[in-house]
Amino acid sequence: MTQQLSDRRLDTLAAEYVLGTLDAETRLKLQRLMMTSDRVRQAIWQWERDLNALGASLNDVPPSPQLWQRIEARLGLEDLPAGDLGSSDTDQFAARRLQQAATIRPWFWPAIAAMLALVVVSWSALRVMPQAPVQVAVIQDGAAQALWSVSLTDNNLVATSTRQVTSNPERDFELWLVAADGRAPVSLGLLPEAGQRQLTGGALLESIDSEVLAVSREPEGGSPTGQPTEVLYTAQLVNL
Amino acid sequence: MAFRQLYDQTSGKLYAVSLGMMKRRDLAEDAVQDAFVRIWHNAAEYRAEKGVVLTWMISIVRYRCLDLLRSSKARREHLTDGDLELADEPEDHDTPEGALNAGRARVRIDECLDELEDQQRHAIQLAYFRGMTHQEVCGQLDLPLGSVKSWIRRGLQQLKRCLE
Repeated sequence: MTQQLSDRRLDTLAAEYVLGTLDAETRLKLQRLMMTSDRVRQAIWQWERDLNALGASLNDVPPSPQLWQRIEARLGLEDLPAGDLGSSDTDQFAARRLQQAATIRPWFWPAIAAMLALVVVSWSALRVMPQAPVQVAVIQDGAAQALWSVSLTDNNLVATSTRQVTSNPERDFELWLVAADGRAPVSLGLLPEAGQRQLTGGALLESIDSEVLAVSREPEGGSPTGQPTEVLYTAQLVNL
Repeated sequence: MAFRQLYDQTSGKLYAVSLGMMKRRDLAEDAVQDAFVRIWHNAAEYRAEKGVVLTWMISIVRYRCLDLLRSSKARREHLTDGDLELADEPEDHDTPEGALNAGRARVRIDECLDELEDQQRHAIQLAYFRGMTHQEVCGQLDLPLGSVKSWIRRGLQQLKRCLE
């Protein structure tokens, strides 16, 4: 369908999408096209950069002090120690946040517990491998249900899905490596929606200083851009 | 921690954007709250092009405001008592655009907006800063719906040519 859209028509639609004046149906159609068309995404991002300069030009209005507390409570951040974890440079925020997520999120310890349980459950699957896994991660949804376990043994990266993963032919889940050196996320392959799958990138994982994995939702076949489309979960690789 | 610093640096801007659209402080804070939760979870969506973190975050809060405004429940609240809290804030009725532009600095895109016809510019600003639909803009400017639609469309096309 994107081929049928002239550049000018697409550009006007993208502008009105960002402005907010599209009717609901057209808006939804464009959102769906964004998932699959880099051309549509680029047009919308360009208008977001252009038009939101207007929002950025507004004078600051401080919200109430309670707002931060409400956000903190929603994200479960209250118990974190104040420290020098972060950077004041907002442009580095996204990369740093992914690196920190696994260690500072409150579900980290429950994740470890779930991981240990999974290692036991999937023992029969794992023992066919020549060595015991050296690194393991468990990917959980927002309700702390385990979705996949990922194990790395001697460059061999294997993902195992749990029954919580529902199959859908219209989208795939892709696993990403978030490196500590700030480079863009690197794809490690599509996660299985049932059973087990060996993924590429085991050697890469061994060679790069990273402990954080991310899972994104992608159109069928994986990310059309080479970068995550919508990041859903992050998880930490833990040495066993 | 980094997220608190990000919040301190940007929440005033995001709240200003949200308040302009939602009008009510509680609804505006709800939208900013939702936006920061989304920013936290989707930080990896952000493309590291220098200087666009803020516009990326503004996109998120604006889309959230638009969702809230377009949902029928928020719409009812917005229309019944939405303007109460800000009713006593100064509005420049002689020049309606004055109210939209009083609380902000001029930026490059303003030079391009200046090239538009007055009502074209005003229509785009009402949609941007107030989150108005075509219908609401035509009510505000007392113009036929078809004119508002094509003015906004042509205004955006002209803006594009100017920005390129």
